[in-house]
Amino acid sequence: MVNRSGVWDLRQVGVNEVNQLWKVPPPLNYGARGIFVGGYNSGGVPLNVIDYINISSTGNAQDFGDMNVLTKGENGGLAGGSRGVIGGIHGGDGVGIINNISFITTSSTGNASDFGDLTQARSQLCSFSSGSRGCFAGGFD
Amino acid sequence: MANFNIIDYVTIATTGNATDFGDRLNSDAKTRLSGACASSTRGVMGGGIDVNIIEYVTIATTGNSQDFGDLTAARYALTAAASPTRGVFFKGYNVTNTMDYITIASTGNATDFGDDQAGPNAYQGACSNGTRATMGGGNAASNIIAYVTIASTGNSTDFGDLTVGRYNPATLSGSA
Repeated sequence: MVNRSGVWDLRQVGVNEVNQLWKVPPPLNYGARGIFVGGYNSGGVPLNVIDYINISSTGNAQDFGDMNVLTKGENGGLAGGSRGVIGGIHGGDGVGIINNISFITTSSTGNASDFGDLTQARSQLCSFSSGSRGCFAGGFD
Repeated sequence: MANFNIIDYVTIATTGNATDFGDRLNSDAKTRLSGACASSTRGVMGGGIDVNIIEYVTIATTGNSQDFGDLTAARYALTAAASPTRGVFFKGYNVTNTMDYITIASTGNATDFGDDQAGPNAYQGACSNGTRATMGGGNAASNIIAYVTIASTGNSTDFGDLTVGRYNPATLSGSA
């Protein structure tokens, strides 16, 4: 609680310290913007398209950017705050399954960038996050 | 070709390679083409090749998954999304328009949510803003996006179209 001059009361500062009330809340594992990454068309061709929607409204998706690698889908996406992470990528015929993990910044539009590697290249996995930690589970190569 | 029961994790705010988290309950084909959703503390995975298994992990710790309960029907190539308290599993092969829900913080079997009559039956992607879940893409390179209100039960409603119809997009939601 601040006084009229905008100065914190010393006792309240102590309460905040003891109860860790200064702590920044962790990022959420969901957000206002829904994002659809990659996939494959009816000919089996992998796509690098990324679309987005505003989940609270209805309407058609809009272009967000491109994946940094072609992805046939069969992969998983997860997010924390404004960062989305995609792993378990099948690059299509001639490329196969790769261990790349990519990321995007959900609050802006733009292309995906390299994040790192999975411990094992695989696709057909599932994914989830707490907001700060993301998991990729199961899969197939 | 092999199936993996691996669970990896990453710290989302930091780029880098994934680290081993633990193992899923099953080590055969059941561990692929599942759907997953989460609260801020618990991750839940459901379905797989012809199974109705639901399993969970505590995301902040590492370790193997544990049994949660069963979906209303065995299926694969399903998708899932969640509010902070409720997870919903959408469709999949071996069912037509089934949606199930669970209470993430407890364990137990899934309950029927309603029907998703708007889109294809499998290979969709789903995401949520905490109250509404949207499902898009899927079989026959669908461009349909549909939605449900997670806190209620009921059938899905049309949302709009993807820019390009496609099978199996990865989906996520983040801040705008």
